[in-house]
Amino acid sequence: MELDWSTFGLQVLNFLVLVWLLKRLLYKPVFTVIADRQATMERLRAEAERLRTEGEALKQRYEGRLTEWEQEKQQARARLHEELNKERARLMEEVHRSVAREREKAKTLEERRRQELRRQAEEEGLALGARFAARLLERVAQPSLTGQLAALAVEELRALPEEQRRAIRTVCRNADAAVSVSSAHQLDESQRQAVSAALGDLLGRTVTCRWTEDASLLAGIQVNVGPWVFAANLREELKGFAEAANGIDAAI
Amino acid sequence: MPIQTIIEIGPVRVTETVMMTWLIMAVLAGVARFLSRRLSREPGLLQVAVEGIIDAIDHTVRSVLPVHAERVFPLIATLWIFLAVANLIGIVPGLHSPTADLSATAALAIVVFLSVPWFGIRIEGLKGYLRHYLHPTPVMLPFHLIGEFTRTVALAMRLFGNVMSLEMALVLVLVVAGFLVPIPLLALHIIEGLLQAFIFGMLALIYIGSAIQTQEHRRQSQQKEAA
Repeated sequence: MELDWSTFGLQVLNFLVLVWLLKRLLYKPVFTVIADRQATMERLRAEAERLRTEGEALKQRYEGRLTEWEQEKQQARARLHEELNKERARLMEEVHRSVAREREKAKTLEERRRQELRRQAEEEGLALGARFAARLLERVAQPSLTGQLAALAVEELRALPEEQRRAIRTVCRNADAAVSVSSAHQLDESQRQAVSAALGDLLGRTVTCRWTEDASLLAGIQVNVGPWVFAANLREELKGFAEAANGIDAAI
Repeated sequence: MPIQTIIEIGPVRVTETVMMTWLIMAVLAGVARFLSRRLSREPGLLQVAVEGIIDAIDHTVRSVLPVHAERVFPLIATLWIFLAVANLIGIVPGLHSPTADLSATAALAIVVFLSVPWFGIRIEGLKGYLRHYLHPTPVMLPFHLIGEFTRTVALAMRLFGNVMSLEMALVLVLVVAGFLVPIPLLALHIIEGLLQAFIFGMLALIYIGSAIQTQEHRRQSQQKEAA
């Protein structure tokens, strides 16, 4: 244990040199790197803080816009509901009108169908009535009825008005026009003379009749002078009855 | 154990202690140079370790001396690093620990002794530094001066005595007991070497800090009174 002044002095010098060396080679670079890193971190932190602040501002702005959008949405929804209600009311009104029209149309159709059914029923009734009358008249169609109808025809021919007589004469002015008289039963001589006399009186000349029998007339006679036909028989009466019934239906 | 002289040039004797110190300086400077070239903002494992050590030292210095830590840091950090390496290098067979030489420890103690007025005068000014010897009363001046001297001697003797005794004990046990027995003593040597390095640097920091912060406290008290 001795103190060597040479070693003492060199050690003092060595230590001071070591302080200088480490300060230049180690402490400064390490502190520089640490300071750089801290500066970088601080910069990043500041950047992050700035971004966070911007994000907050953007968030608030977007929240405000979202609130506005929500209000606009509510208003638009209210307007839409109002328009929907109006449109619904309009459509309902239209539907009601359409239903009323359809109902009216159906009512009309039903009325027509009912009228058609009634008409058909009446026609059937008339047809039945005609058939019934024809059946009934067939049973009462005797030569005496034919005689009565011939007498009735003579009366009607004589009772024709003058204008009609002139018209018939005009139509039958051809003197050679054949006069044909059909009867359901054979007429006796007096009945034929009465008919011939009435026709001669009507046409204003002497006529020669061709006498035929036609059972389809049921009872009575039918006179054909050229284009002019005069019927006084049950067949034509029944036909006239049926046509008159149809004419009434058509008028209804 | 006598210290061998390697080279002698006139009055200057380059002893084994000086040679080991140069070796340690070369190694530390080489490692520092190697590390400083590889420093990056994204550190590797080695850089993290080095930054951790430097940051821990800086934190300790700032905890004792918060105001002027950056001025004192190079001296204290170099003391800790150098003493840790110098204390532990004696474990390696064939190498001599420089701190087992009283001349080396005395040199370090005188550096600390001189650094106290150096930092005190640079930071507080000559008048402000000298005033702390009269604090709290001028009667304390002789005791302050005796304390300056004795604590420097204590620094040197403590470090020298601990390291030298450990090395001697290690040699003796190795000679007496054989190959594996000194292992616990080696572990004790590691702990003691690191502990003595820490104590030496911490005491140096406290001595320097007391010279600076006495003035700082006085300034703060005056500011409080003025307020």
